[in-house]
Amino acid sequence: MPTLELRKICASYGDNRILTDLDLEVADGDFVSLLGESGCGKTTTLRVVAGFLRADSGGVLLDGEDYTRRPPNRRGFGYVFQSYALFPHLNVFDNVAFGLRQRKVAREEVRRRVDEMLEVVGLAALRDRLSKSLSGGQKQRVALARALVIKPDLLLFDEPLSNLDAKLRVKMRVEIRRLQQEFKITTLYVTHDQEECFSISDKVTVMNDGVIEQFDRPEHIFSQPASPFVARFVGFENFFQLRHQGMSDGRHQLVAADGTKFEAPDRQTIPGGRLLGAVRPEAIALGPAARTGQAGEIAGSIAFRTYLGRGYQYIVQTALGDLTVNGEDQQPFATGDTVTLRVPPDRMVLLGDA
Amino acid sequence: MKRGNPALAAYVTLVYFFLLGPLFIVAAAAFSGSNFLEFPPSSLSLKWFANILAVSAFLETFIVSLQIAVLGTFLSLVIGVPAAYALSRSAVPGRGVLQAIFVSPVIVPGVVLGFSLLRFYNVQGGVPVFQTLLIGHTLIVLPYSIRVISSSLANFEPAIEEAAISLGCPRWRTFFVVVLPNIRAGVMAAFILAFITSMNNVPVSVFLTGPGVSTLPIQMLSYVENFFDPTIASLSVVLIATTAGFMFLIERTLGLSYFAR
Repeated sequence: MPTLELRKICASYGDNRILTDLDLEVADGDFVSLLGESGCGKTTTLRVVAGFLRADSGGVLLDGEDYTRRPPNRRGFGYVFQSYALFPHLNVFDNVAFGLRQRKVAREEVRRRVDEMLEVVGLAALRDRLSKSLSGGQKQRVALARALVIKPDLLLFDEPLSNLDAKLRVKMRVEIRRLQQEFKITTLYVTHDQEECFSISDKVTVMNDGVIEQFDRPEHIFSQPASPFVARFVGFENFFQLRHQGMSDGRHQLVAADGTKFEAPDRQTIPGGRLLGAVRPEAIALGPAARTGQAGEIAGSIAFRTYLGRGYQYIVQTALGDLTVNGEDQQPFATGDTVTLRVPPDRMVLLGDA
Repeated sequence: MKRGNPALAAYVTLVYFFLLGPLFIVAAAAFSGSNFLEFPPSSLSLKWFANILAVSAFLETFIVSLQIAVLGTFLSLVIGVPAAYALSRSAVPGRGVLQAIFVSPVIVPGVVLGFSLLRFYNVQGGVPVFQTLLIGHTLIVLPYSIRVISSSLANFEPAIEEAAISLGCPRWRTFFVVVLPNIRAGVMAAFILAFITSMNNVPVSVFLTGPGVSTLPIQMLSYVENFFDPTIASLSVVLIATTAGFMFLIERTLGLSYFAR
């Protein structure tokens, strides 16, 4: 199975530059997601890989071979669309058989391979049904079977689960992951859904405004975002401007503009330029006003409270600005209560502020 | 109708009366035995139906009309399907202008179109009458073809073509094996609409028909200028019956709902 390489891809729609010098490498057999909000260029990237969109410059390589100018029908990539894009005039069997027939595969073998694939996706019983008469989930299974049966070098997904309801989405993503591992196909998967993306990917590419902000394992993206954008994207809501004041006790010593001291673990490298500390709402401990003088303590008062179902979320007014903090269910604080926030050293992520 | 509103029922009856009343008068007059158009007919006879065949020009012009309509409609589809496809799929520069040009024969009065075609193709260009007539009819039905097929294509998702391409089908073949089978209802509808438009056309044909080459509506027009007998009414009945039979056949083989998709 091959490795996909994108080198310095620039792409645009008309005068609208979408991708700028995009580099990406998808290793053999890996499941890589492109994650980002709409308009970030993730679908554009996928269309460049598929060959539906010609890049302005840069190269697409598969196992070192140049695919940049190869027409999309000669790439041999499976593409699964958000809208399923089944052939409305054909039944399930003929939809799946389409790619094999283009390849002039012998009749008997077409029959055998299509039936086999329908078995794999659990649609054998629907083989003669018209694609129009299927449910959303069934349609996406047909689309999946249709893309897999040609034994593609690369499998491309464009938001394949967005049109399905929540329960089916979870079921289908497990199915997609299972099939991808069973056939060991290098996969590029576009989505805007974080949970979906983290749950099925080997690696995740977070995109913003046509560039890659971070390319890493899902766990790392979640715990060690590389930029303020990624941090916000994965749920960090509190940011502090900090200055680095050296190391002590094996920890970075940091100070905010108002003199509040923070600590952060030394395994983090200090980015150059302005420094930003990021903390998740659930990482901050919330308690009654009581100062001990330890690092990471912030005094504040509750400005706003919302109920989340498994606890409360507070907006706390502090000298460092309004902070978002999640608290326990028991004995909730009321608006106006004075409190002390504690940021544990190992929950503070240090970022360079662009 | 289920327990309807009586005012609505009266209104609908009135609409039907105005729509079908004249047809009824024509049909009744067609079976008249007298020598001029009268309603109600004072006697019954089929002789005016026989007279259709006696006037050989009717059959001759009918054949010309049929030839022109079939060829013109076919040409309009050969030009119109690719044009509609290009307009709907690619970002052709000046798409709006092109779209306007394609509908312009509908905007330009047929009389003007007919006259200019006569002037420049037939008189100046020396193009024979039949060919000029064919060009004229192709032009008047082309906008209908393009319009109907465009709306059919608008409902057909480009992703389906891309799916075919990603599965190894070249772009041109995708058009034939994926696009065309899915817009064939639109193509059929365009064919019928263009065919009927061509068969009925008077304003363009009136300029472009010449010695020995005329269409049925023009022949009918010149006939009523000279004769006042009910032959035209009989001929109308035949035409209406033929069209109805044609629609019935389509309904039986394809189903009319097929066109309403």
